Amino acid sequence: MSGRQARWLLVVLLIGEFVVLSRQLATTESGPSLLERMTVRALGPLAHAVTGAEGQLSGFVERRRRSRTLREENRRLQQRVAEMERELLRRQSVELDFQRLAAAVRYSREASRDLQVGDVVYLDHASARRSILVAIGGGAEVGQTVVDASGVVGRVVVASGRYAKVQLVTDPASAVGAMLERSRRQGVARGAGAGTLRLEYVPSTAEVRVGDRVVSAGIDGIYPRGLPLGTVEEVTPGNDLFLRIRLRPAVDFGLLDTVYVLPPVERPFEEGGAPDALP
Amino acid sequence: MLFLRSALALLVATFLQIVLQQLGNLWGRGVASAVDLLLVVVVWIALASGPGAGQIVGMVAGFLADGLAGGLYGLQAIANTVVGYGAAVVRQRVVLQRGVLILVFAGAALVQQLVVALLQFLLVAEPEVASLPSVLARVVATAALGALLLSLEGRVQSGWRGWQRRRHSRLRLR
Repeated sequence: MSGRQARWLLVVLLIGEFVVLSRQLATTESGPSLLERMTVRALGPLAHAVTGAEGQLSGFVERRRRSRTLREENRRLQQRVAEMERELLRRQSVELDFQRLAAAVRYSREASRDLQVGDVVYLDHASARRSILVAIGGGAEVGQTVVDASGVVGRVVVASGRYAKVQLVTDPASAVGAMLERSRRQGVARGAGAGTLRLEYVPSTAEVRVGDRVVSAGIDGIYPRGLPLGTVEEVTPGNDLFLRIRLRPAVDFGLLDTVYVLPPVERPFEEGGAPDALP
Repeated sequence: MLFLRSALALLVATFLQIVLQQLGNLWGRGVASAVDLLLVVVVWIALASGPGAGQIVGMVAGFLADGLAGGLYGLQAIANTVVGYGAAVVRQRVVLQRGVLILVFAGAALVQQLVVALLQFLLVAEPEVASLPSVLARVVATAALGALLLSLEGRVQSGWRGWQRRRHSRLRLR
């Protein structure tokens, strides 16, 4: 290939790549490109195979290591099961009381919805832990919320087959409607890089303490209300209007193994447009 | 042959990169974030095969890296395309000893980081720029891996030539 041809090829390739980039920047509603979905679908099985092999190996080593303590652990777990069975009985009686009282005041609550379980097959270290690849049996849709037992992990940004790329809440491009659990004061939790979050738009007059829990507010149409996001780690006066609040995420992203994908948040006005004006 | 070699090298590099990331989960992320095996392959192919192959392999490797990483899809692709082209042009225009080629690997890592940082400043509202120590770590790691790859390539080539010489001499004796 001559130098002139190589230069033309460079120009063509760069234009193509800028087109791919600009399609993402033009609108946030367009979703991931076909190329990106194909890449995730191609890399997902590879990452899955590596994770599986590593899991088998570490599982074998772990089983060998823990074989001596299994009996003691078994005894402890049996005690724990007995305690939990007692706790379950107590809660069942509370539930019965609740149903009786709810019937009296005609209160109804949303039925619990099914979760999908996903295995984390790849955690991106190279770019400050901003995304993970997850293998989900039934597949996922863009926008679904991903959580683990500790709290919010992020949301699905690319879904391709049974693999999904999840943008972590610590990604600087991520924003979650959030509120302080104690005071119900609302703000926006953004990724601050380096595995931390910051809570923005909380007025300087608000009372915020170190250790306050922050949960999702359910106002952004993506994340359901009440999911743990993190705890307040540092509060400093920001500019005149708002406090500068740093959060420690509820989830330890270095320990992610199994995650749960919540069903898409229903947007009541999306299908039929805005409801009629109230009388 | 070039296509097969490039595809195989990219496949192996992607596999090893994923393994490295998984090991990073267990042993800490320092090494995992410093090493970019796909970049090493891009420079290696560019040095051996010229600007055309260099930039195409760079683009494919970049899209693969973007697929694994978060953020905008295409940033690494642009950076690696530029690096693939640049490394090959340097090789064509400057006569370099084998040992000095390591500097091309180091320079490629630096240029890649600069291009990504520049694109982030241009396109992202809140760019996340790599710290100086992490850039230096990536430069050093890429140069070291490049040296290792060149050394392995040299040994394989000399071994192959030696085997061919021995084979020819045996054939002549018969």
